[in-house]
Amino acid sequence: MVIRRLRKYAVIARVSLTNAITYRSSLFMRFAFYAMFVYIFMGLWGAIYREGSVNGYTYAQMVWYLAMTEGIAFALGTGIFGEMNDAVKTGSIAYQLCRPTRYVFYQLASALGQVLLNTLLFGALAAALGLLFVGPLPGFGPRVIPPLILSIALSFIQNYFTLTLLALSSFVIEDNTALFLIYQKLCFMLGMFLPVEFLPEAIQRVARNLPFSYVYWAPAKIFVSYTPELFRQVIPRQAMWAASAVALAMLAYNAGVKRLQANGG
Amino acid sequence: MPVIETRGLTKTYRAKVKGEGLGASVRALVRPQWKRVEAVRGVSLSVEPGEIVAFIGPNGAGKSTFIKMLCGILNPSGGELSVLGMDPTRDRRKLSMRVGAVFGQKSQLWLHLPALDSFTLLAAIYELSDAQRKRKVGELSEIFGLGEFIQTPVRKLSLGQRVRCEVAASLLHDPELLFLDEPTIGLDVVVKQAIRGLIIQRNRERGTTVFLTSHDPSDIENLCRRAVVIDHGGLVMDCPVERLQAAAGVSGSGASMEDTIAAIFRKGAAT
Repeated sequence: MVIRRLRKYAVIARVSLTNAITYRSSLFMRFAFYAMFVYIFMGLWGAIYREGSVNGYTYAQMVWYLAMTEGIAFALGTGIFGEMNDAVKTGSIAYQLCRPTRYVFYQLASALGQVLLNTLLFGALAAALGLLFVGPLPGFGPRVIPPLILSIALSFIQNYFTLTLLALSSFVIEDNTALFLIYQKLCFMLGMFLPVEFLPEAIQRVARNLPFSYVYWAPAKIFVSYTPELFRQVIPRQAMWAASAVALAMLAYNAGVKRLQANGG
Repeated sequence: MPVIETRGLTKTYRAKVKGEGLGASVRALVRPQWKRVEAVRGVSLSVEPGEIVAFIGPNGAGKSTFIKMLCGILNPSGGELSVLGMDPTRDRRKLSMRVGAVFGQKSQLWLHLPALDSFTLLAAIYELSDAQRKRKVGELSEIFGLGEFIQTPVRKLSLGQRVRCEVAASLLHDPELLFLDEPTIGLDVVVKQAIRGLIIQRNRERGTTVFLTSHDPSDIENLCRRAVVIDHGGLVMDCPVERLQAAAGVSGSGASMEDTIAAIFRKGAAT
């Protein structure tokens, strides 16, 4: 019985994966955008780095950092906020509640199918671009892979449930797109575009105590300069933020479903 | 035991009200005003197993709200409610295993994938084994004549083909109770007849109880033996379909089913 219940979420992920690979042209467009971003920022960093390292990052590390953060951004881009937000606003969430699944986990399984595919494809593309432009990443080896996978998984959970929380805020807030934009920009500024170490001291301290950096900076930092000490510093915080996002999203979901007002056909 | 039983079922909610223009918008921002809307007012209803009931009413009468309470999606504000012996609010997921639904204007199929993939997904959601899924898909495919297009992406199907897939999808898990919300909307006469035939067949062979909302008089005439009319959230009429004319006060006038329903709605609006 439990296996059947879990199996349904595996099938949802599989069908979502099938759906994601239906359109090759859309996938290739995203590949092209990804390569363009990496290339432009590589040029920018190339101009900044004349020699040596900046804030502890060599040029090669910076390019790989960029390939990783952009790769995660493209891999996590499943449009889940828009989808759930619309479902709450139009009331179509009501129809999905008629099924023997938990809506949040249904969407999670659906997003997971796309994210797994994206991670494989953009991971391969990131590796190809990094190797082509700056060669192998110094210090990267098999021992980095398990902590990196764990960090990316936590990043996905934190990001997915934060977006769920923001989308479900439309149960109480009429226009919540500003919240989404603020979240996106904070993640962008505090880790995706720039490593946290590049920020002024005071902002660094704040950033390290906020959840936003842990979506992009944490896995990228583990990737480019893994040490057991870094692992002990970063992973517990990632786990804490991911667990907080799950708890808050589930609270918002349970409260939201109780106050659902889906009227009209 | 009745499949559906409600006593004094009520749903009220708050809706924001705002006057016209910028000034009213600013005032609403500072001090929002609300009005109380009674979407369903004390409806008592009992539906026995195997019945096909037409649940009709003008737009905004409270039909969808009522059905959403029966499905457990909306919490009633008052009254009692039992569906298949369960409290839908408390046992929503358990109840959904025994209930099917087709909402004519919303699709449960994945648009970019063939219906077959959606059937696989729904079979997993309703916890069917692979053997059960294959048997059910084969059976429904034959009954609904889906063979030709079951592997075509849903977005490339005609509306009639899509609705056949929708109804088949809602029956995969052999529901005892089927909610059909405008299942024939936008369909041509031939496809409408085919869909109705399939619903009747299902009802006769499996004893499936059908709770149907429709604005199409032919659906009511050809499918249902009983009509329940709701207006302004309250129960207006509950009688056999053949007695609708008498209840509407148009018997002997040669009024069509459409005229009869219009007369009932006008009567409701006047009161």
